[in-house]
Amino acid sequence: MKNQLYFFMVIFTGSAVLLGMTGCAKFLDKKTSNAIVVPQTVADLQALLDNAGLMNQTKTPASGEAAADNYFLTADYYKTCSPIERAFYTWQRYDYTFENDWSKAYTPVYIANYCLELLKKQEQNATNAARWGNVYGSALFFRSYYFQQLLWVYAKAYDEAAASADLGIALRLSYDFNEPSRRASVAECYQQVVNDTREAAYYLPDHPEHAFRPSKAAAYALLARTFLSMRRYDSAYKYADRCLKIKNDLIDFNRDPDLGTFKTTYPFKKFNRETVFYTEMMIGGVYGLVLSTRSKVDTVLYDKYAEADLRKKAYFLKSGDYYRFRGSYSKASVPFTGLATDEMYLIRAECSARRGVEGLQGALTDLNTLLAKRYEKSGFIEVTASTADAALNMILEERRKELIWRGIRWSDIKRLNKEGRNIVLEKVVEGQHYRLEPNSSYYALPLPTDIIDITGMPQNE
Amino acid sequence: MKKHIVLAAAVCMAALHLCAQAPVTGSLISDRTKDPVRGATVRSLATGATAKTNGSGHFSIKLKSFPDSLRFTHIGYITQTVVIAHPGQVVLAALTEREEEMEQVFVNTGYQKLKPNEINGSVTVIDNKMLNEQTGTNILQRLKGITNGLVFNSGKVGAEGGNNDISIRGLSTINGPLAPLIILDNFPYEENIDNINPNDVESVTILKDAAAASIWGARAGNGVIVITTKRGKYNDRLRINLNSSYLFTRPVDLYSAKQMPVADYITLEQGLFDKGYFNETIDNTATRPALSPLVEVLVKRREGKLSDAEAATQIEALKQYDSREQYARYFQRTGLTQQHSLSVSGGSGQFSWRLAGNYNHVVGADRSLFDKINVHLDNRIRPVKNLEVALTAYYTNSSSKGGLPSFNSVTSINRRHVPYLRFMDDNGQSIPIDQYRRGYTDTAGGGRLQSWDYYPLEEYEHNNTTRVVQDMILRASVDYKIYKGLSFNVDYQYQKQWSKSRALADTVSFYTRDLINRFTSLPANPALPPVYNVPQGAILDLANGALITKNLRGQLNFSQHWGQHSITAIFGSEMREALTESGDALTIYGYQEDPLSQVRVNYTAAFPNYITGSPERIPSREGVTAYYITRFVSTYANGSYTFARRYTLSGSFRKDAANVFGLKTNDKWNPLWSSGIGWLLSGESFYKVSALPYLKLRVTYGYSGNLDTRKTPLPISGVGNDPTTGFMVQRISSLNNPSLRWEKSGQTNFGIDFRLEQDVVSGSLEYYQKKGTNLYGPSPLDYTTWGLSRYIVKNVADMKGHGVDVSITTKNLNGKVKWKTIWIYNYNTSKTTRYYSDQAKDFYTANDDGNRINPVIGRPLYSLTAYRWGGLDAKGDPQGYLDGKLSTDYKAIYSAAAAKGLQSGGLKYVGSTVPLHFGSVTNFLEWRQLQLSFNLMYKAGYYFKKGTFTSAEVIMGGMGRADYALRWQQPGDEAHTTVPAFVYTDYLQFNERDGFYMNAEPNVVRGDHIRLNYVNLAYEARLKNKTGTVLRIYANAANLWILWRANKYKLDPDAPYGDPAARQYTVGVNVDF
Repeated sequence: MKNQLYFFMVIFTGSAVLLGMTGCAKFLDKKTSNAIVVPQTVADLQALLDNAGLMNQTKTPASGEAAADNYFLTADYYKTCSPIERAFYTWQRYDYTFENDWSKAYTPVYIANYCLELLKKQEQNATNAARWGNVYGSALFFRSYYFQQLLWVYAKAYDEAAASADLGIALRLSYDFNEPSRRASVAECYQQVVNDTREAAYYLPDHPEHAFRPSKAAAYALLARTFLSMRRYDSAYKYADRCLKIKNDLIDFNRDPDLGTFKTTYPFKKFNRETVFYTEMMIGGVYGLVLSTRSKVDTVLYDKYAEADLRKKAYFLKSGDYYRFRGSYSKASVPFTGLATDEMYLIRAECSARRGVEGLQGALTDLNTLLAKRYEKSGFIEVTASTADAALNMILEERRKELIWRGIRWSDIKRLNKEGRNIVLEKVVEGQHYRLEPNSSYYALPLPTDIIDITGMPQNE
Repeated sequence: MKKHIVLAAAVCMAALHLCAQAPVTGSLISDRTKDPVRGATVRSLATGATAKTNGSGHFSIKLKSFPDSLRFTHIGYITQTVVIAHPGQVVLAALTEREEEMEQVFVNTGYQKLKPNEINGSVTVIDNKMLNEQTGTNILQRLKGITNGLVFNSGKVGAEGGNNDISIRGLSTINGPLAPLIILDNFPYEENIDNINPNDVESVTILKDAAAASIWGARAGNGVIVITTKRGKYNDRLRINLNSSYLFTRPVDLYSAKQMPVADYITLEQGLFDKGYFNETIDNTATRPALSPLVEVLVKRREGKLSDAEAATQIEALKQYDSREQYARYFQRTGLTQQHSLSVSGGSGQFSWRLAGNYNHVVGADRSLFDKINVHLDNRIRPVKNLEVALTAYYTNSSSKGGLPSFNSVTSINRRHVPYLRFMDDNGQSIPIDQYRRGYTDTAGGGRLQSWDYYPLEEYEHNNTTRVVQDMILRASVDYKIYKGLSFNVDYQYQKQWSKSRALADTVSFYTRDLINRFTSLPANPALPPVYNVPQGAILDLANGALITKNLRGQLNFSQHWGQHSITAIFGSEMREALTESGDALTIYGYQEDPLSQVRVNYTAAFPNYITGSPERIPSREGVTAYYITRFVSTYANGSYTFARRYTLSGSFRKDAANVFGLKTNDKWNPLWSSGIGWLLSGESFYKVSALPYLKLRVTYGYSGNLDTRKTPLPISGVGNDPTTGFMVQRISSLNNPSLRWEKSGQTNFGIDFRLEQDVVSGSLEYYQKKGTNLYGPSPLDYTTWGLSRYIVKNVADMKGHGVDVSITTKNLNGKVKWKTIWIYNYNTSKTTRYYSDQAKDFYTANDDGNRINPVIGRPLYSLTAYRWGGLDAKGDPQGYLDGKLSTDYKAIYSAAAAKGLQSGGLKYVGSTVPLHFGSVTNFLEWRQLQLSFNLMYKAGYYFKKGTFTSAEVIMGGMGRADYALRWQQPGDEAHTTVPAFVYTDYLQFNERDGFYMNAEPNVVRGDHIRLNYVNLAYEARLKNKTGTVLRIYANAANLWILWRANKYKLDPDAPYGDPAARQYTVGVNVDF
């Protein structure tokens, strides 16, 4: 009997120990689901960057467009707005917290940083060089793209003299959330964007597999945009030109496979031939103000479109007594804010015109190339200008008319006011007059209140 | 009761001749088990000399004179006296166990069965009789109102939104899982609890404190509910039990949500129309939203299509209808639940078995259908000595079919509640409820589209989901007695639950017609046929899923008694795997059942929506979903040592490991332990309180855990495909945090068990303290680093709780009329002691309804704060306090309250929203063959926020509440009402004004109440046949009345916004052959 007892004891404890030591480790290493993974490989990282839901769609800031002058609200709609929206609409200081432009745009930044850091641990060899390079270049591009979007909203206009003192955004270059955020100077921020985008351009392919993915063309377009907002027009010219050398398609508004009939609510094809890189405006925060189904196009602006200008039909729909915007390249109400060839033509034209007489012809050629695709064939007469300044004025007006609801106007107002164009924003709401003076400190919009509280970073004036 | 006394006085002739001084010896055994009775007192009635029986039940005592009598006393046995005729006599006595101990239910912890007095921890056992006090189909619901320490919460959710329906001794976590662990027989049960047939349940044990629950380790932090099913007995005759009952459920009382009169609503809606509120909707040609019947009339009048007089007549007509009356008339019926069960059991010396079947048929108040069949087979065999093999199978098959739509869904037009709808016209024809603008659907497509009419009364006949759930449990266990008190057992359980759902929307259904219409494109040339991107025909959605669990346990059991010592111990280890397969799903278009046909559609292309023109894809559930698998490995030990039946030391230790993704194996193990001490005071020789013959004190301390396998230390991404590009994509959905650990909750329990003479009063008193440390909690995150959340979860929170559980049974009358009462009183409170979050402020509990865990340091986890109330001003605006002065600047009051909390002077802390005091009183009366019992439940010491009329709610489309009638209408009204004047959205601080008022003091009321939970009446007759058949006929009424409540608004605090638990009536019969 005793022997039997010992026999059982030994068997039992033996098997328990065995189980604990070996089997159990394997048993417990089973992944909890086939839907999850710790992203590590180059393919994983590419998959993170390919998640358009976090990288491209509804991520660029809305507050710039919402503070600008392309739209207005009817009195009825204004009444249904939240206190924050009302304050924002009338350029009042306001407190706001998560979730907002800041949180939305920093989400792709985290993913880009994660990829850049994890990529260091991945061996780069002959077989994976292209894929490795695409991830590396894409991650640098995405980070720069959103840094630049944030700069347009949260920093003052780039001013060579003040840039190293003016406050920029938080330049997050690591995915470690324990590293504190601090605001870098405007100069540092733009430098980072320019350097990284240049490096990205080196690694990226000329054309992307899909407009959600960055490409060389996109990197050049981003550099052109960035230099334009820095008012470094020569560089802006150079990169717009490089972009157009890769891709110079334009949609012919008279007849084009990428454009449906004007009877459909959203006539433009998504990922059309002009799209170099696709992003959309975020739809939280103060987006409700510019929601194109509710807000109306500024009446003065609307009247500037000539009757023969097909944009007047393609971009707008009658809505009550006014017109609403419907011409987004997203084929939906959400504004397309990405990079497109029409913007590159306009940048190259503007930069040419700014060279003076020597650039005049080039500027007019670019402008006419674009407008020929925008006007009715029968009604189009090539524009001419005798002076570079006249051409520049024309180009700037076309720029505003062409790139409406793209999240660009706010930066343009800032930039142009730096050159004394004296664009004053005015609104009358419920009998009260509101005015935003050129170069007002409000042009650097306030950061989220909770971010200021947690990080102790200085708030904009 | 059978008094079985065996007195075997073996007279030894030789001994008679020996010395007269020879001691009297003998041994005591248990009448039932034949085991020796240890530690019994043997006392001479003549001299008072005493002796004790040793470990093998032997005693020896010297007596001086003969004849003498020896009295054997023992706590567990009935006292016996034996006459001793001469010295040297040898006595063999069999003692009968005390009746109540024999009747007592064993406490099944899921690992071992113990007698209640062998446990130091805190447990509540609900026996079969108490379980049958209530008649519902859900076993857990039958615990309501009769279980010490357990409370049903109405509408409460966790911090992250998870349900918190049942809680044992309140909370032990803030953000962790809140549900108690449910054990069916020996293993966790994670399937639908409705699968279990209550008639198969023998008893339910609630393990409340850490010492009792810690044997279940890392998932026992919220307590454990152990359900023990019935089984056959060895050496038992054939037994047949038949039970049949009919349960009637009253439909929801729609009038319980107090609503403003229809005529008032119509006037108000007209006012909104006049202000232009509906203009946006009326002019919306993008999505063509439907308008309420009144607004349609008003639009027609404005457009001149109706004269003022015609419009007035139509408006008058609308005032005659009430959606509630209509819904009650056409949609609601009394629901009927039938439960029929039959069981057969028996056993021989080597074999015991039980076979039970159950059938449920439910027709809901909304005409939904539910059918369920259970089969339970339990076999036990003792093929050879010392070996028992048990085989159990439990099979459930249920099928359910949806019913009519809910009141809220059918009375809502374009997300506005319409209180004056009709569903049937005077000719008995169903009336359609508009889903799009009537004027548009009447003409759209020029007759080339299908009708867009939605008939809520008929839709469910054409668009319904059938769901079949099957559950199979197979269990095998082998128990082998190795040597004396040592045994070894191995248990294996395999369980699989399959579910299949089939949603069919036929061609008549609105769903199908609407989808086909929206995906139709009509060529400009009317001669060409329409293009149907969604084909003509029915739409069938199929989905299935499965849950498979496997358990394996090996356990050594040891039980040994010698002399004054007694040891019981177990040691074992187990593995568990639970695999959830969400399964696969399929959508079939153009479906026709017979002859079978189906049409393939293009899921990848986007087609213009016929109404809006924006591109949309055809909806599809097609796909295979991921599996989820959790694995646990545990080793555990539990033991107790008792000395002299008076002192018990107990302890347990357990280590759990789980397959938490991304953790190193060493970090996966989480050790938990508990210890306790018990002292049977009444067993001491100095204990002289004869009125209180039983008194036991016990103290325990231990840890149980809380595990959330979703929280992981690595950045984990989900995998999928981008719908646009088709690229494989990954998404990191939560921020990694390598410092995350499992939650632990410590609990101390002090208990007293007592029994008065003749058990007139018996019961237990317990006091406990809970302390949760390093709990999961949000820590504010600089979301510059990661934009998807403002918080990151860390082990940063602490909480503390304490409470009292009292259960007392009194036998009030014991004559012809028997009357027994069970009194249960529970007190529980918990508070947050450490938490980092912006939201953890009184300000946030002021702007919430108190139904969500909202951790504020120093406050209960569920708490309410209200805005201080300064009455209405002369314009009918509510006033609060700002800087000590009355103010109507609500924005400023908010900002001050958000920044400074109570210090701002604008807030007042109110209290807990879960009852601090709760319990029940159950009375049992018996007279001849009649039995009557009734149960009163009470809850006290808490508050809730009542609904009230606000301008915003009714303007935005909610239900206008009845206190609209009390609103401020003219100066002077402020003296006698707290309901502000009605204002339109152009009021400067429109939303803030309503937000302030809704959350101000007048709308926070006390929840204290007493309700009559159920009444039971039964007639029980024992027939005079051979087997003594027992016939029982019973009637039960449940969820009856609130007998008293602290609020003066006649609100049910468990359902303050309407929809209280439906009243139920049951009649049934139970026969025991």
